Amino acid sequence: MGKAKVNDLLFPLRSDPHTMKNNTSDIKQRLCNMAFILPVITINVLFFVIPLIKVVYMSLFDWKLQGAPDFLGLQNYIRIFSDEKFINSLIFTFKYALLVTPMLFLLAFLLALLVNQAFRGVGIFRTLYFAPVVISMTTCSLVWLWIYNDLYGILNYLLTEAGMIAQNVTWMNSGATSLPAVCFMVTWKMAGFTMLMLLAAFQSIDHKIYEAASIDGASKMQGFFRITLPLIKPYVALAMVISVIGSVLAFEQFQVMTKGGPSSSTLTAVFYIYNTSFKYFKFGYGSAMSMILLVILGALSYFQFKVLRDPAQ
Amino acid sequence: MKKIVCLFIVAILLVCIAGCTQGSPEANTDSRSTPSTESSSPDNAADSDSVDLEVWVRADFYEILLKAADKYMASHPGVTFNIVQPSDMSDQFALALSSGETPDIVSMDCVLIPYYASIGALADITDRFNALAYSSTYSGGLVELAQYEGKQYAVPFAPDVSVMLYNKDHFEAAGLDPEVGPATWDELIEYAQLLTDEEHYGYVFGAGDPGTMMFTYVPYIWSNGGDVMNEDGTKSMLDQPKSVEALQLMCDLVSKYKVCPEGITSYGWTESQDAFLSGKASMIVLGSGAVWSMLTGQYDINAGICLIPSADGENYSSFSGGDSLAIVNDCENVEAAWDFIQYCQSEDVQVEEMAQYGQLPSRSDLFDNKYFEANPEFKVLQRALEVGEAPYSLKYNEMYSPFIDGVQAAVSGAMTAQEAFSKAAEEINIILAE
Repeated sequence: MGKAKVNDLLFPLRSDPHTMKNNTSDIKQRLCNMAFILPVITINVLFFVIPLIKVVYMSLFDWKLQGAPDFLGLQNYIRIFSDEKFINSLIFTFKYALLVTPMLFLLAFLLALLVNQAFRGVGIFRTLYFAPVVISMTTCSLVWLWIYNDLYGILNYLLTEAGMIAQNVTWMNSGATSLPAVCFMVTWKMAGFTMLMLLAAFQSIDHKIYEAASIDGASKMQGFFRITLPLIKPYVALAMVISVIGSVLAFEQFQVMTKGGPSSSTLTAVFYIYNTSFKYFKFGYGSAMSMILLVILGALSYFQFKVLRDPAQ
Repeated sequence: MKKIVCLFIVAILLVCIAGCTQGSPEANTDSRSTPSTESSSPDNAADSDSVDLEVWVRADFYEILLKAADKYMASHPGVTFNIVQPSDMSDQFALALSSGETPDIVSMDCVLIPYYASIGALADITDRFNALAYSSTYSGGLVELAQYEGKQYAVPFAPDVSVMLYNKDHFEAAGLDPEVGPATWDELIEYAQLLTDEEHYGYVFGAGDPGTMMFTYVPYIWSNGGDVMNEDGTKSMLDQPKSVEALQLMCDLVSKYKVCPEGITSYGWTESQDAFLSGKASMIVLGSGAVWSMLTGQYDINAGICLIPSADGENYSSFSGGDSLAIVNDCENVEAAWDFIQYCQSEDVQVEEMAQYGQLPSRSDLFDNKYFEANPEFKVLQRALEVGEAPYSLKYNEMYSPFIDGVQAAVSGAMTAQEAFSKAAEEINIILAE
């Protein structure tokens, strides 16, 4: 929601001189509007703003599990830049995000185009494609870990039967095979979600526009590239931001499937932050790394919205 | 009318918020009475002299403690012990400590005791422990692991030791004596080569997970005369020749003799155990719990048990881990907590609730019980507990990452064993110096 919209909601009709007379009803209206956004604000403050302030505060300390924290100033932040492990984990995380996002979008786009058509039983397909989204990432990872297993996994069996490989592939043994394998799993799991958002985008376009275009002699192709794509841009931006945030925050899939190995080569940033905070109990340093990640994510999201801005606005 | 509706909505929301903020801490404390929660006042007065304590335990030993608590409460009216099984003991306990909502007793992985003792989370029970008539019957390693700066912070409760299991059918098929497992490294290599064929590999280990490697591989270092840490836990000994030799053994098994599955650097506990149980691997190091599963026929395979092979066939070793019981520093009723811990050390629990179901008792004098007599396998476990060790470190968890990175680098051939463990030792020393 844009700033202007929030103002409209909180201060309705304030540009209208007639309502200025009736001050009490204006206040009532405002209160009522406030009441409607109160739940969102409350949840945001409780679970985002307060923890965020606390994290900023903690990141300035050597924050131990028990006992008084020692003030460090910006030392935690300075340390991050010489922490090879964190930098490597960030690089790996972006590698993952760069690989998984296009895979996800390509599949989701194709699926959305498929289920956007009106045919008998289209609902079944929509449900089927969306189904993996509701399974938890950890469960998915465990199931796929079995599928990928080098000794008794079904994937190696199928590939061998099909004559595509001569001997079993040890999928999880090196980053070169485990990263694409994890990306494939995540694409399978999450494509349905992106598909749903794109489907909503397709269906939000008024059919009259297409009709008008076809009267003007536009082909189907032109309709797709000149009408559909530009109009769904804001939806794509939203889906993209959600997907990129999800990828940058990747954790469970790697914890379960590769355990960050071999030799920490598939350690994601959040995985490292988790270890630092909850396994090594360095909450201050963990908080500082979280802040860096937050800043990076904020910048990324801003950039994406900027590039994929709604042309109408 | 609108006004009323608005006020009504606001009122409901405020009640919700108040409910949220009040409800969450209360949900955690269960029935424990804290002065600030007045809402539970109706039964407060009646319960003022009753005892209600919370015990946290890992999944492995949850059932045992549950039964122990039931038995104890049956003979101690007015005393309640809530046995709780957190999803991840270490994480949850850390959170509990930082929020101040701690349990009263914890049954935790003994390797973590030094750290929690060092930050003052656990109560000093030195005098109480020394007063126990059977305090000398515990494995020395486990007692030391529960100490910090000369004080005792926990009592060994449910030991878990690592031993080797092997597939007897595979042994027979390969022409080996199914009653005798490999005793030395040479035999391990020789047997593993004989056992490796189209169908299965000779040996498997879970090089993907640091906890698994500590438990199943580090005994090779110890029996070779090497160590993970120096005595007082201030320096890593991984880069010493004896430790490197043990890593070289693993590398050789994988690369030189090719008797292990190629994927082992990604295997954790489950994957390696599954490889053994599904007959894809013939030998593996597992814990005492697996021996019980084997004896009770929960495994489809015909397995034998022996100590983990040692370099010379004389100095054996094992990782003696498992749980120890500690009283949390904030415990409101230390007397009652200690009484329950003592009860958990009694024959009633250690033999009737543990040994009967295959769990090793913590006291060596309880090994001669009617349940163990029938199964010679327990002699092996008893011996393993006697020779068992565990690394003493205040930063046990933090050593995991350099340790496993080193193992994986060597096993995958990215570095030599010496390079890998020199790097690991260097990193661990930096962590320890912090």
